Amino acid sequence: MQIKYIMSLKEEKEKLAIITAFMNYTLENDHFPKSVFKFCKDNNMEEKNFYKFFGSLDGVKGIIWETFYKNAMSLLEKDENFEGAKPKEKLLSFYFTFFEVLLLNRSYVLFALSGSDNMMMKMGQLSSLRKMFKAFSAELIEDGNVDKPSYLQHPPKIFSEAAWVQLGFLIKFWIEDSSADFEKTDQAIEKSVQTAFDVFDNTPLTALVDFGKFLWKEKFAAS
Amino acid sequence: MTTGLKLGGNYLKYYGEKALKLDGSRERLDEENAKDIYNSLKTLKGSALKVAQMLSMEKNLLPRAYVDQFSLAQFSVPPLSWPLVKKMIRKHLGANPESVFDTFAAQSSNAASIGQVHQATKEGKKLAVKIQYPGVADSISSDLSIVKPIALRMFNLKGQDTDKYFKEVENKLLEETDYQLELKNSQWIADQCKAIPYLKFPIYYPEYSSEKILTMDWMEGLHISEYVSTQPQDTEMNHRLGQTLWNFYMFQIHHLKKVHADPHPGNFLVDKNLNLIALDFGCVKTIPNEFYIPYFELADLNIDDNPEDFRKILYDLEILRSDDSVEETIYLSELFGRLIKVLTLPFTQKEFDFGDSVFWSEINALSETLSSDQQLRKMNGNRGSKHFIYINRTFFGLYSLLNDLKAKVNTEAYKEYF
Repeated sequence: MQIKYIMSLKEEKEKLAIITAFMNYTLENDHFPKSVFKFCKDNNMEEKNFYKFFGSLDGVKGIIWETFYKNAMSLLEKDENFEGAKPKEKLLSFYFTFFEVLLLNRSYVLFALSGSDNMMMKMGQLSSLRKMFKAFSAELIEDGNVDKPSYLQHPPKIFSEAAWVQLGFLIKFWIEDSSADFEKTDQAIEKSVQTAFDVFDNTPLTALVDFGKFLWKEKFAAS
Repeated sequence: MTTGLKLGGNYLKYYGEKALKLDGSRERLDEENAKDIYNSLKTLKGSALKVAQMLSMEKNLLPRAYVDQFSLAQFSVPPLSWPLVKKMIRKHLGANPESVFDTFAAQSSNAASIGQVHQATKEGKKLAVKIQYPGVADSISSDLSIVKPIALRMFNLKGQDTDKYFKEVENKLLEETDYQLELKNSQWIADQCKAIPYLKFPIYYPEYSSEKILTMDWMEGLHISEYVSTQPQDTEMNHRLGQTLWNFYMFQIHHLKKVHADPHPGNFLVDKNLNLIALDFGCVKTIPNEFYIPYFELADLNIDDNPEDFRKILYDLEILRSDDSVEETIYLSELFGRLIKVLTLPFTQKEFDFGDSVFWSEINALSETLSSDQQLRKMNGNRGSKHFIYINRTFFGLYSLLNDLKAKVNTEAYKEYF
């Protein structure tokens, strides 16, 4: 269930302006804003305008990720073939588009996730992204279950958590990726999704081998 | 052993045996040696494997079974997913495939060596859109450094400047990943060759191409190998096809001094009017004068009458080294003299029959010598101009295609298109 909150176009713009100001402030000062008071003062803004949209500074961090997700989804929904695509294609399309959105905000993302390493996906700022992405992947898993006998069906709860772990792996991969155009992230997306669906569909594990070779080369072999 | 010579020798051997339909040649190879090489090679991946295969001239250093295994591993790359294809088109052509083209097939129709081909239409025209696999260019240099120690051992390369062979191959492979360059080369060669009859090229579309995407006309036709094996053969028409191919190559070599250096059967189509269609200009070799002049002087030279000139050319082509012993100099001059005589035979006659089995058995006998000679094997392989690698590949590929067609060609006809 999605809560529909109707905002006027003007309000929508105001909210986006605050988000943009928040991201700029962070990058220019090398730290997140430390108080709503200071943040608003530096941006010639009344505090009540801030509180109209956000409960706290931490709240903004979460909403930024939410906005990335929604941007990606609205781009995907413009494609008339997206709705009818198979789960695997939907997931791939989502990842490619999501990382295109992240690319536009790479500096911010690198800063926001810096120093978090293994705990990254447990960060508070990602919690609403997590909720939305898990709902999306659970839907894909249910779609994938439709034509399967019950013993081959996969519980959406467990598998959507696995998808979240995969997204975390990909974000981390992208952060560390130094290839031109981030084409290695494209490969990582392609191969890890193929592999996940091989496991999912119980087909022979050719993609697993291919993905393993890729990972070995990128992460373990001296480059 | 001379690297250029050895590469040539292995090509000779392969094509010679192929032309004579000999089998079981594998058993004659030194089994221990093959196993050794195989063990080194099987740890390789990606383009390292491709390079290793190329350096071992694809078939001849390894038993068939091994080669087959490698080929399988190499081509079992899963095709790019539709979302990734869409993303690449978005990234390189600015919009989703459905908006750039009128129609665009989600399924790729075939895999090229470093990319896959999709069929599309635009304004009633059928197009082929080639999309490069991500990461190919990136891995070439690192892959090559893996192959290097193996190749050094395989060809007994010694001394300082062995890098020139690797650089040559590396540069050519990197060029193959630059589709902008391929587009430029294709358009230029097609334009230069337009006077040659029965020869066709696809039109290329720069507005739908980028470094990683290449769009051209969709060409209907059969690959030469399919044509030869499935169509009723008309001798006259085969001569005409062979003549077209010969004219195309000689025109490039002698007039343009730039040549399509990958003449394998998959790169040529025969259309329903029996025109020859040349595809895939990823690998174009420029022939510099310092190589061209001595190489073709050899073809005109009567070696027995001019031993001094002959020796001088061998130094120019870096076949002989100043640090060779007297025995080595004599031995190599004699061997290379025989090789040149056979290889340049087509140039010395006004008409040449590439179906002639005497010609191919001579090639075969010579390659046997080249690959089994112990004395040659012990010599420093760091000899022979780096240009031999792609020029030999071109000539043997060309001769082999002409043999497939059993073509009889007028060897001088190309001159009228200058």
